[in-house]
Amino acid sequence: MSPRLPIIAVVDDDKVFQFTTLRSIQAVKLSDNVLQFGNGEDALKYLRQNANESELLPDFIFLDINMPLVDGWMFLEDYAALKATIVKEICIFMVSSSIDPRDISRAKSNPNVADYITKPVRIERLVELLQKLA
Amino acid sequence: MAKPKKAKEVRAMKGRSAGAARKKNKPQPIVKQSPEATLAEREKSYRSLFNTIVEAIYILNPDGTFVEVNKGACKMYGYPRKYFIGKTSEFLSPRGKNNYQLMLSKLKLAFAGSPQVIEFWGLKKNGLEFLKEIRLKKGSYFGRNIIIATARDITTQRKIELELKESEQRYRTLQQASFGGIGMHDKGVIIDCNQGLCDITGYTRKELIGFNGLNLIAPEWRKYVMEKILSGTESPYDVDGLQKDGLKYALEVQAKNIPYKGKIVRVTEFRNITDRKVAEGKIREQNARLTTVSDDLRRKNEQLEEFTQIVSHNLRSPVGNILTLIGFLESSSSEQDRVELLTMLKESSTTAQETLLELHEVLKIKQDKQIPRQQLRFADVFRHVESMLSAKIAEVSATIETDFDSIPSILYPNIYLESIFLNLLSNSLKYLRKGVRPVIKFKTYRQDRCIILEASDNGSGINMERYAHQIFKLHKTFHKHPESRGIGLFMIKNQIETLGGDISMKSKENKGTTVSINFNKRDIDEPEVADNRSGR
Repeated sequence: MSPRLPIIAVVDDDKVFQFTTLRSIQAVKLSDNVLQFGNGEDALKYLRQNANESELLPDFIFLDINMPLVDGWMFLEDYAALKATIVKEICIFMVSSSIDPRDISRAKSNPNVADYITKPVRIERLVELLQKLA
Repeated sequence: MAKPKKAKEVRAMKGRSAGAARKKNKPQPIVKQSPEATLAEREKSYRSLFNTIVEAIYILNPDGTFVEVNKGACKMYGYPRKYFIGKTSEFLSPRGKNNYQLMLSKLKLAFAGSPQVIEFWGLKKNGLEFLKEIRLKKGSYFGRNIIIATARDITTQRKIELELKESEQRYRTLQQASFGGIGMHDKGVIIDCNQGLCDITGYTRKELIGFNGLNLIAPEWRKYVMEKILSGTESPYDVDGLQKDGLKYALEVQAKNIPYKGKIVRVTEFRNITDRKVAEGKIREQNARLTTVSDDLRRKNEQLEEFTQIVSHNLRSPVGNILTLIGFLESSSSEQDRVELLTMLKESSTTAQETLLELHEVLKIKQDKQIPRQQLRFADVFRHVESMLSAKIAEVSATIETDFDSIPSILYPNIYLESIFLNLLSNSLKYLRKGVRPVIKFKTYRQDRCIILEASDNGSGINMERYAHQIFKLHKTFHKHPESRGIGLFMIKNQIETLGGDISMKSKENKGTTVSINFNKRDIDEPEVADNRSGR
């Protein structure tokens, strides 16, 4: 049996981005379990509900900044408080179209953010990132 | 022991004097007529009186030689009585200190019947010099015409006088040297003043002394100054001064109560602060202008940041999507897949184009500061917007209350006011609270000098603690509502701010939302600067 593939969560309100990301992940077989959330609040709700379910929790989160309701920053704030109750070590990538240096440095200075990726995200970049952490 | 000795001395002196007097007075008829005993008695009482007087008394011949001196005189110089008799006062004078010729002429004048006063430097037996004042008066002494001289040590007094004079000199020098005007007044009446006060007010010192100081103050300030005088305040205050020629000038007054000749007078300093006022005015003006410029820059900077944000997030997103989708399209083989990708491409392109249009619209607003304004009645514009949304109002059976009575109209661009009403009303109609009949209120009022429009509802509200930073941003929505696009508030905020206004929101989840628009928040600060500019 091949090793279990990671669970990836994509938190983004952009339906097209959700579609293209899912398709890329599937194309290179990075994951066979992609969770999709349209905003930070839904993602947080899921994490809270499944805090003890290692099987259901994502290994990686691709987090957008600009979202309605709970945006990326607010998600990170709430996640920082939530982290201790979650049984799984989750790696968060901030994924945004913003090339604003303030956004980038703000993301990189957050201890819960593994890296900052600007959109559009090339498939090779995704593979490289996940392999580095695997 | 001392007493009897003294008594003996007196007696001895008495004896001698009496003898001398008797001898001298013999030819006088009055002596002949008086019995010997009475004369002796009189002489005795005269002697005792002569010696009881503490002041020095000298009996002098017209040529200045001493006939007699009293105990006071002996004590003053430290010589015994005998030492004086027959001598002139030369031995009592330090070398070169007195004008002896003057002394002689004064003696002559006194002898002629006109009393004289002369200052005389004395030299005590112990070598001490002192100044005395001598009064010379013609008199008779046992029938002889003589000069009675009384002397008073005035060294201390003179010293005090001199010090006083010097101190007054110093005071005057200081007062004259002061660049301000200094005056001393008693309940407004000027007792004394310096040249500075003359220079400032245009009056002469002669004119000012005795003058009511309130006349130096512009009439409209006199009551104020009187209050200051009466309250005895010692801190400086600014008023308008009035010069002799009727000119007014900016004046700083500072006064202090001081005791003077047994009463409390007020020493007042006048400072002409016209230059300072002008400079202050200039600084204030410049400051106001700088503040305006810096405010403007800050706003521009915020707008630039906002634009970066919009370009960064809202524009790059769909463009990025387009690129990715094209990549997929290139490698796609299935027709059905291509159709799906093309649909998404179209969607992304539309989004990009919409964002571009919105950006353009905002830029247009920013540049459109001079957009024509009309006198608009709030009620009219609102009625129009209400009719546009009538279907929705009926659908949710909302109650709408308006009160534009206190401020019925405003000078504003029609499309902006329409857009404000449309956005606020449609938001209130959109974000309802379940099971609560919507009540939406609009009213206008004046706050300070600003016109305020307030819209409030009893809808779902927003958690401000969480979302306050996003409310007026582009494409931000806070509700999972199908009609949310997040453009409205962003757009009207830009419109309002461009025209010098300000928009703010208060909200509580499950309570409702109140949006306040201050139409001329910044308008108010700026005209002052504009006035100054035109005045220059």
